[in-house]
Amino acid sequence: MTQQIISNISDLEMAKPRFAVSDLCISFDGKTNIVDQVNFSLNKGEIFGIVGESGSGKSLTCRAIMGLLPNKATASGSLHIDGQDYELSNQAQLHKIRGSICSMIFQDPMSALNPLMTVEKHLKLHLSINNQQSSRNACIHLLKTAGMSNPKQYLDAYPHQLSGGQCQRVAIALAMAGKPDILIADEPTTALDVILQAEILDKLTQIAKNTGMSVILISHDIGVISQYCSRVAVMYKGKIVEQGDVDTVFNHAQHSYTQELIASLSLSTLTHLGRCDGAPVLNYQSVNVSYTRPDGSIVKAMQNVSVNLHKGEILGIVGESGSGKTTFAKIAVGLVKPSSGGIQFEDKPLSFSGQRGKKLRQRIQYVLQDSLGSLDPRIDVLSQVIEPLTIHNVGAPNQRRDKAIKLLERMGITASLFSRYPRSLSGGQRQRISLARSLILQPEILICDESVSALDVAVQAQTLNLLVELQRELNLSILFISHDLSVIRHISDRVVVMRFGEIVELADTHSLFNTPKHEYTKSLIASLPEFNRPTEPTTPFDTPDLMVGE
Amino acid sequence: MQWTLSRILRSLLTLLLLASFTFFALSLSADPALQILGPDAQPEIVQAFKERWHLNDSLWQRYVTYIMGIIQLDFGLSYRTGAPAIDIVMTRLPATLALMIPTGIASLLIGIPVGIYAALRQGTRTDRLIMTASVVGFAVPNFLVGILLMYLFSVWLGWLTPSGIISWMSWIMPMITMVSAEAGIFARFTRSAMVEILSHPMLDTSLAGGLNEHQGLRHHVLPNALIPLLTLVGLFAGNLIGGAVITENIFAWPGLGRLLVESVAARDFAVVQIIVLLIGASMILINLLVDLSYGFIDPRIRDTRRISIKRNKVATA
Repeated sequence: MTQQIISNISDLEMAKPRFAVSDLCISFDGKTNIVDQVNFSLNKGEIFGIVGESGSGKSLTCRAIMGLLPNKATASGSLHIDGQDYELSNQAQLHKIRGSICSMIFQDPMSALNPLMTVEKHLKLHLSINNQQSSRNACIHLLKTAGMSNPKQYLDAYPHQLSGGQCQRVAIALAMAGKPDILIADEPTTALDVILQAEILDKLTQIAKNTGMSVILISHDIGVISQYCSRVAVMYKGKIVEQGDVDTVFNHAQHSYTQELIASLSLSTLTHLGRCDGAPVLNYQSVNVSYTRPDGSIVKAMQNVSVNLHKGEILGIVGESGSGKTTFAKIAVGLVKPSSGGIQFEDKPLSFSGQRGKKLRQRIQYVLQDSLGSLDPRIDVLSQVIEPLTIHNVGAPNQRRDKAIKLLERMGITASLFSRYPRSLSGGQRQRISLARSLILQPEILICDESVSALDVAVQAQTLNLLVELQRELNLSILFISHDLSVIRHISDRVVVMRFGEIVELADTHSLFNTPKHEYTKSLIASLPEFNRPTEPTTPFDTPDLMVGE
Repeated sequence: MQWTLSRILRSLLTLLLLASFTFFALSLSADPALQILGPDAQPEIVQAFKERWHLNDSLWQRYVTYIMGIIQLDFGLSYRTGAPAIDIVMTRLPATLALMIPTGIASLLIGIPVGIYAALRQGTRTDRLIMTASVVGFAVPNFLVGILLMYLFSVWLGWLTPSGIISWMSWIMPMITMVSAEAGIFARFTRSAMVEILSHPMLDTSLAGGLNEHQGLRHHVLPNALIPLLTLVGLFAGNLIGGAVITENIFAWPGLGRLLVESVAARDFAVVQIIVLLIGASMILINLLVDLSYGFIDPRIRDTRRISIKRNKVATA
């Protein structure tokens, strides 16, 4: 009897939120709230997700909790931790909870550490500041907890000698040094590839389970959230628009933004259009590329790569950073010369010299990842799109303007945006303008190098959608490069998997994803966060004209 | 080690180039005989002078003698006094160092803290005020500051003697003149280096892990911000000998800078050559030291050097 009462009490204790944020508002000018009335709570050992696009206020929310807001920002609201209350308006006071109660890891692991300090020095500093024993053994133990295999050999290493994944593990170890009750992880794996992502998130889950530490996991990736979190808050424009356990929120989304997010996840509905029967337009023949790094080491960016890009095909190229994807693309526009092997365009060696070369530039176009960087900041939108026509002297000068307007309107850029400058447009709009700049020349080959990677999922989906439509209309051949498997799966007819500059596997999309042959491909696909898809996906891609190929 | 050796060899080569350039530029600029004896000197005397100083030898012969002399640390004699030029230079060196070393220390002690202070108050009125003051400090030319100070303290107030070394008070005006400029540069540089590091994510990591702002500054921001500052300190230190030419001339400071101007005017080749070589050598030496110390301080640079040596070994093997 007594036993039961005690266990009931501890159940109650467990159920009572140990951490609650109430009425958090953040403002930069004292008038408009960038983050508005945010409330959420956490239980012991729970992993709580916050999902939303960039600029939705998820990072600011967490910074406010840590007392790490930028100087100009002011916060209001209160924080409740294990029976203690803290005023969020008093950011300086929150110093007390940092490290020992609440800790945080950030997005970019490569710059999370001091380049002048060894791993051991970092760990010892954090241990001693949190009044823990700071022996070498304690450091090793901490690294082990954070999932570093063979921690001893990394103690004397400097951050630049570690990989991104290792750096993030050191950052986790640092965050764990004060034995915090709550760990905030702000996009901790966005900069890492999927295999590392899975390893790190599994480790966090394990730590939470073993130590009872609660985790706030911030991500723009709904797959990550649905796989690792028990409850989730969806943030949109500074507000929590939906909150609850993952299944309820994602399967019965109430708010239109959540629905859009989930719809954008159903990218895989548009796979395998099977259009790789056209004539080869671009032909890589055992291409090798090697670079010499400034430090003298030689990097083999491409090794013996042979592949054809067919007319009207979308060829996806996937791989982690440094696998040679971008080199693949740069060769096609002559920015990189193969050390050996050759590349042919319509059965003639690719060459950009002379008059024919200039013509060729027009026929092969390139769309980059950073839309802001690839547009001229001082020219308005319409002129940006007219410019390529002037450069290549296409059509009569007085018709160029009309042509540009027509294309922009086709791409959903309304006339009111024509006189704007790139900086005052959204990322999605800018990327559509970059795309328009390429398409206005009516190229035959389009190279998209991580072209949608900087966009938020919903916008990403719209842009991909548009790209596929245009590809069908213009019978374009596209080299589509991405580190994101789900994007590749959605858009490609065939997929090339690259690793260390070599083609690991080349197959049509359907068989690659369903029956991967190579171990690396298998582990890539296995590491993709699983999303329990709602029974009736509402997808914006079910437009009839898109499904013709199936 | 191999890197250090190759770096030293390159420094010596630079020095040789400098010495050669100085020699030819001076030799071609004017005839020292006419300069020293005057245009009205009798031809026999001019001839004797040229005999005495081997000025009739071909340019190449003189060049070889000169370079060989340098290698044996024999820098020749002064045309004007006949004394070894090196002795003339060495008697003037202490005065220059006595002015420049305190100037450098004072500039660092003022410039760096002021820069740090401004960076921590980035964007505030204090920051803007400090930065404006520092721009004014290094933008106003030294000769103007010097003359204004002289007018104020010597002519108007009559507190300080305007020239030469008389007492410790003689240091006041020359030092203010140079410190105002140097401290301004140090302050601006420190501030921008600090501002860059202050937005580095590593600071977030450490603050989130429990460090307070003071600890974050001490362990992360300052060490990283001081690395680029090292280059600037090197630049100043390399200029210790030649940096005070203008100031020395304004305040009639009996240092090398003034000697240089006098000797150039008199075409006293040997003296000019030594001073130019000294300035060059100190610049090269300090640069070498700065480069070496980068390797000690920054592990990234250390690694790059190690790898490039490995590659060289592979290439030669």
